[in-house]
Amino acid sequence: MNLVRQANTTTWLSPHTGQVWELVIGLEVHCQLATRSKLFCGCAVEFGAAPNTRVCAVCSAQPGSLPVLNGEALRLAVRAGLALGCSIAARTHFDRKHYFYCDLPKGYQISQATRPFCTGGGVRLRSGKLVRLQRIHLEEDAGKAIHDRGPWTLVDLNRAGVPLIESVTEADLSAPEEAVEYLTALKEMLQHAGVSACDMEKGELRCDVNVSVRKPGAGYGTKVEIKNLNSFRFVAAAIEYELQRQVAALESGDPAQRLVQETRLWDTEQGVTRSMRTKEGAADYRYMPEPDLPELQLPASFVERERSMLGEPPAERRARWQQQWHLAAKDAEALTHTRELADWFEAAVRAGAPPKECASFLLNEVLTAQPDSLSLLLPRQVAALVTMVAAGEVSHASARSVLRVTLAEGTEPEVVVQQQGLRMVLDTRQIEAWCRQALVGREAIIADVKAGKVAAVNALLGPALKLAAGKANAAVVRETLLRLIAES
Amino acid sequence: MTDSHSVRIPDLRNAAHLARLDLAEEEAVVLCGEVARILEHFAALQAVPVAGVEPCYTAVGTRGLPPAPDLREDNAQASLPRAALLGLAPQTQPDDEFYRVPKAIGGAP
Amino acid sequence: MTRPTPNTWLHLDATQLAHEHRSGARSVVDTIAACCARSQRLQPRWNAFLALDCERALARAHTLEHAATRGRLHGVPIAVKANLAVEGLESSCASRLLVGWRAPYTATAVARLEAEGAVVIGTTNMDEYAMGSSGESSAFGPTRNPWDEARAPGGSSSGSAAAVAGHLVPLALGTDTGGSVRQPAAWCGLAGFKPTWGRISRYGLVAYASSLDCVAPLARSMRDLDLALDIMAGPDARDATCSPTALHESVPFKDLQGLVLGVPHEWRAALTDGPSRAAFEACVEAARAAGARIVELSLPLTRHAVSCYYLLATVEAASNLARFDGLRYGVRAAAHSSSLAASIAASRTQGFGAEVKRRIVLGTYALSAGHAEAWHTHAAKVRTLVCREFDEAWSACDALLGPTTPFPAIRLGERSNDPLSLYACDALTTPVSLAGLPAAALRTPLVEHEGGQLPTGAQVVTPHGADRLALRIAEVLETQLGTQALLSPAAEVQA
Repeated sequence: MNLVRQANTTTWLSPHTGQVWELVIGLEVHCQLATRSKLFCGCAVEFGAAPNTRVCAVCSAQPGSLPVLNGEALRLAVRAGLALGCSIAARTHFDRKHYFYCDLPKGYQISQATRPFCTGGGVRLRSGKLVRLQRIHLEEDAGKAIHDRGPWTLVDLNRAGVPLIESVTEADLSAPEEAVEYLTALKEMLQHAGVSACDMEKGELRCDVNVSVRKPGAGYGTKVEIKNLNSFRFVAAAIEYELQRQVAALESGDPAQRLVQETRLWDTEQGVTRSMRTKEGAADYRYMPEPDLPELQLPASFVERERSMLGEPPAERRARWQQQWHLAAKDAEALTHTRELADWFEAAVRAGAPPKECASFLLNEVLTAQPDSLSLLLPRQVAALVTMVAAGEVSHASARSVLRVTLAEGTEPEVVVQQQGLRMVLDTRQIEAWCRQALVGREAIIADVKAGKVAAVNALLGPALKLAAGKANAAVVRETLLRLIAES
Repeated sequence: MTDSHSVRIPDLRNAAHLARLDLAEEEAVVLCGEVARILEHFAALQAVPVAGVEPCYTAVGTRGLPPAPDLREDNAQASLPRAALLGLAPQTQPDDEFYRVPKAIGGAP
Repeated sequence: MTRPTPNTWLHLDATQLAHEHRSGARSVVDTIAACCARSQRLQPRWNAFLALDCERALARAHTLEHAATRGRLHGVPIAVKANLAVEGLESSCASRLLVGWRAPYTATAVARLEAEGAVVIGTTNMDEYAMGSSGESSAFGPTRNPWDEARAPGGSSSGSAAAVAGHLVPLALGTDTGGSVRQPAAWCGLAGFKPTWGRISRYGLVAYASSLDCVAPLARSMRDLDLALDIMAGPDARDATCSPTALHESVPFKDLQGLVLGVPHEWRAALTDGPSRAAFEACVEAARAAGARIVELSLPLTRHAVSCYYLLATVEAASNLARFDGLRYGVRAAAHSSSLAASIAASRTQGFGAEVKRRIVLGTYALSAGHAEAWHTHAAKVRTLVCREFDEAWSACDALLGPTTPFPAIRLGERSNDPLSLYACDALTTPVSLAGLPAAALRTPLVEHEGGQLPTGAQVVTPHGADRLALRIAEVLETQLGTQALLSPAAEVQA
């Protein structure tokens, strides 16, 4: 079966039956908070540490141990809510969610059920559509179970107790690319707010997708949950696959293919989803308030402090740069890749760099020079260099070599320009002198220019610049040549 | 006691299953019978009117909530030595890297 | 016949013993050696301990003997209930499932006592995971009551009570969730104290019902309890529910002049036999004689307290005991299949005793989908009402005075096949637990009961945070009653 997307819509046509279908998608995203220590104990959060070396009495659930909340995790969760426009609960508490598994030492996960930290809010897509958030809550991660090494399942508890926020959308999404756009925006906002590094390769961002199909205007269909997708590409592919599978099942009327509410896993190799278990006889998580942690009250001052840490949302920042500084859309996009880069760029502009030139110099010269360029330079150094280039005091070629020296030795750009004599000659009489010398014996060209073939002057540019030994600006030289020809 | 509070043995057996108690038939009958009898006795509690009353889950009393708690500073502290932890675990050797547990099939619930 | 003298340390309370160690009048090593020897010899008789570690205790005694700084419990031997973590000691909670678990850390309360010079000699027998009122649900056999070895010492802190009543140690730690220290105190003729919930850190207390659990000391004098409280109380960075409020200074007063004591008539009415009633009335008379004004008041929800308590406690217990899966510690049972799920179920099914399983099934059911509202939430709302009932009482009196248990120590086996009748032992202690209030258990006169002499007890309950007021009133009452120097026949038992 191959459904056909109807142009400019989020509906699909079934070529065999002529029926029209649409997707209903909701996303649950787990995102690891950027803390040094775990949510309820002091063990370090450290990707790639040797197995079971970041484990203590609390996160291995030794009898008698108790959780104590990491203040930074709480602050970051609140900040995430603010970044996404949620309302922050003034009073909240943790709940225990019970199930037995080898990666869950206590036999329950400390999470939030009835009173999450954040409710409401959402992310606006480029189309103007608002993807509403149901909630964001704070919870602890489970450990890792490894099944493919020998006769035992091996358990590593380093990850057990690492702080996560789970954000849950309403079923507002209706196409794979909408899901990807939402996830990209979410990731960007969380990164810019300093909530999480969102490194998907380290599993810091993991998505569960709820997908169902229906005929336009109909009620919700049977929902399938696809768990633990660790790339946006897989999210899109899994939704695409489920669309085809679910419509095929519904149209076939085959009882064997009847859709059931279930959890499925994405098979990366085969590009298909596979049933994990049905929700019938589903887990009864028996939520109860966590008695080991006091109810939390978040005073307004606490919330406001986090609001002040938020920074400008990346989309707004881009819009402002484009409007105020006339930056190209793609430059603005590139410069907001991370909060650090965006802040760095702004600092350079504040230090006096002309924004457009600065953007292009940063993207084309600085960031391509070496991977850690930004950490070796100060914004004011780049500002000084870009300002000299923009004023015509230093050529582009010289600027590149100045940058190399500053990166390697930390010498101030002005000093490099001085030492290496790279400053351009701006003295009109000196430039005129070089130009006059270049014009000597070139009457044919002069005649051509006078006859209106202005481009003929370019043949004189090289010799004039050569006489200036690279210290004259080509545009100025060209202009001077044309002026002298006209005057002759 | 109203019908909605009547205790059904299958529900108790389901509770035993949820709690991962794998009771033999005879034990299940006896234990669930006892629990049903206890619950029937406790059902007198249902007669206490509680309309509009907030539940209390902690013994700090009804005179207001404790102040916002002191939060832990986000500093990484020393973990326990791995050998000390794994040494407590059955069928795991202190010099192992991982806890060894029986093969899990089908993933987490 | 003259009284044997070599064991005079037997009769000293912790305060006096520490004083003699500090002053050099008595050797710490001698005391600890004698105490260990006595405990070992009498172990078969009362089964008070689950793990005795004399080597560890003696090593510590030698260190303390020459220590430059001498704490308020210098060289005092103590026993610790086996649900408290003591690094390196087995704290099995009297459960088959947790055999061999030597805590990799020490409970805050224990660490604070040790920092003042206390010497832990071992972990004591108890009802499995503190689930019981007689000590009989221990997987390692019941503890016997040193007053009458055919009787239960009470529970769940059975071994700690027997160790103090049997003069094995002057001070022991128990835990009190629904009466587990006050009730054994009454049945063993001891002073016991349940602090305000959150007053003493629970870090290292193997949780039974977190919102009710308290670390609670047992001793033979009220001043020892006050000292232990003073040492153990106070905020702990490892327990977020531990109160940051400082303990009030002890207010010494000679009598109860100016104090109003409320006697709830529901508590008084719970006493079933004549002698127990007479013992309690003697206590009320003593209060009056000491200058207190007695008012009778009513706590009508008392009759629902046991149901309310058991529903909430078992829900929390089912949750707290979920970590016992035989994967990271304890005993992993052989299963009929090799899967993880089968292994977890086998370990739990074979590892837990009957009472623990009953409570886990009860608590799981009361929180399960479709039933949580009617049982768990409803009970939590009744708990609010119980708290309010106490709040109202404080407008009429400074402290409440009532019996601790409806009857004196039961015979071993008497109620072990009838859970409900055993739960009834907690009728007068559970209301106080639900409200998280402090309560001092004091000794009232011995009574003639079924042909023998048995101890009885009363409890003084005060508002949140007024822990020391309860202890002080109890001390005045014991002095007035002359029960402060009550000696069990066990004091004469030679090791």
